[in-house]
Amino acid sequence: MTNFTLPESYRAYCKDRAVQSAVDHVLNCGEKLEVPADLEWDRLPDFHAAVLAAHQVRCDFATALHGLWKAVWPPALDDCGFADSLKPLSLHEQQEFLDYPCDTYSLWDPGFLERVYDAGDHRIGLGVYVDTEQARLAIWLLDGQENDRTAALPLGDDWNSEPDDEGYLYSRDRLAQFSNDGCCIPLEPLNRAARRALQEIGRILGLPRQC
Amino acid sequence: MTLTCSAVDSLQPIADTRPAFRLDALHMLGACLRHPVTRAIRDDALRLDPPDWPTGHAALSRLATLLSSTLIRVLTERILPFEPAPSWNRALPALDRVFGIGLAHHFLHVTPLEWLRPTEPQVTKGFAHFLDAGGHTTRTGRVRALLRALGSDSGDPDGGLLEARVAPEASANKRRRIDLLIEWTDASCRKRGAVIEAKFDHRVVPGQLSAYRTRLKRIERDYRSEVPPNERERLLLFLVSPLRDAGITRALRRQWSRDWRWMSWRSLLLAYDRSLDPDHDDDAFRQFRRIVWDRAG
Repeated sequence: MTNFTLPESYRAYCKDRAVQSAVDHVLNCGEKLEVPADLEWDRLPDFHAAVLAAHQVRCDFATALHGLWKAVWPPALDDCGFADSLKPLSLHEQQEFLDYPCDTYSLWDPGFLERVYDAGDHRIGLGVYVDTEQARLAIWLLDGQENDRTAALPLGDDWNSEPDDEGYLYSRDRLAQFSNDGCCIPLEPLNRAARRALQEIGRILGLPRQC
Repeated sequence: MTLTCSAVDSLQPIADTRPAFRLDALHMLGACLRHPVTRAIRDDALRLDPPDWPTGHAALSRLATLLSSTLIRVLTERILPFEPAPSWNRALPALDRVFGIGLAHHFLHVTPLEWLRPTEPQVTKGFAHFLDAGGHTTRTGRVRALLRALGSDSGDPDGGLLEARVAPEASANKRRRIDLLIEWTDASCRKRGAVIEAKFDHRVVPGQLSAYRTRLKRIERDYRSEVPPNERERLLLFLVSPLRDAGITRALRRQWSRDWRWMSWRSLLLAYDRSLDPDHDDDAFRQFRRIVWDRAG
């Protein structure tokens, strides 16, 4: 797979400012959403369909984040031979550890999904981020005393040199922009960045590699 | 409560023919529910035997069995009229019909200016500026669109609106100022008016609404005395705010708020764009409406 295909609903959201505004309006209003004052009775089903469409954008996006994560990180873990030496936290364990849920609402606003792995006495976070123009990877590393070691990771040209304020080190800006038609995210640069990051972390932590 | 494997398998044809509706996802969620009673029923580990509810376990078990079998029956016999989720090709036109985003001149196409947060007076003065701008055709066209958005017949092409002017901070009496006063002359040369009290962060002040009503009735004195009651319009008194909160609901129930109607900013803006002739629009006005939309969120 060379490209990751974005869902049609999210493509429309990214491409059309008016669709984006309408969807944001529906999603942000929550229970306070009102039927527009000048809508006639026979348009009421359209209103419900519009609400469904807005929620479809958010659900499709959350599903796509999960798909992108799976298209990038597991292949890199396999390529580096770390599939056995890195142990993923269960969904429940991770939500407790990060104190951040993975439900549809919580993934939508930051546009971010991560999974946490145990690497001996260290912990690693491997994430994907998607906005309306590009996808980026994110990574962090904690040692056994929960000291943040992310800043000490030299991950090469595909990555920023410094973590952000929250301690996430991101792949560089515009590494993987949407295709011109807005349909796809190129996977090759993301796979490459993920492999290099894991190789470097494996070297620093002395992780055993499985051939 | 779980469905048997055979029951789930037998659902496959439904999933095949209606792939957009993810029944399996709902089943999975149902099976993962962590409510203690659900879990206990599923695990057959219910230990609810309080003295006043000796048959609790058995009753709940029977209910669980009943629900399971009923659910399986309706699903396998396709009794439930499941509608497939609409494809995105149908979703997009719905968004268009509700929000009017298919209109090329719609303000929702404009890039928001997120750094800008106008105050209440800036919004009302801005509206007055743009409604009152341009020549006679543009001005009357923009005001007609506003009246139509407010549900007034005067906004119709044959509504008889001859000339219009819009004033922000118009005097109601010595102490009170109307946020937005729209005045026009109808086909019989009678003065008409509409009042918009624009709220974002401030409360309705007692006495404010009744004073504006008195002022509007004075403006429309000829119209209200000459036109028979069954032919004349309600007073056009609108309280416009982002949300109808408890304070606004209380204020509109009072005696002094008689004839006042509430409308949300976003509803008004959506209705306005549906009513506005693109020939009477321009980029600056469109940007302004987008700013107000974001301010009202």
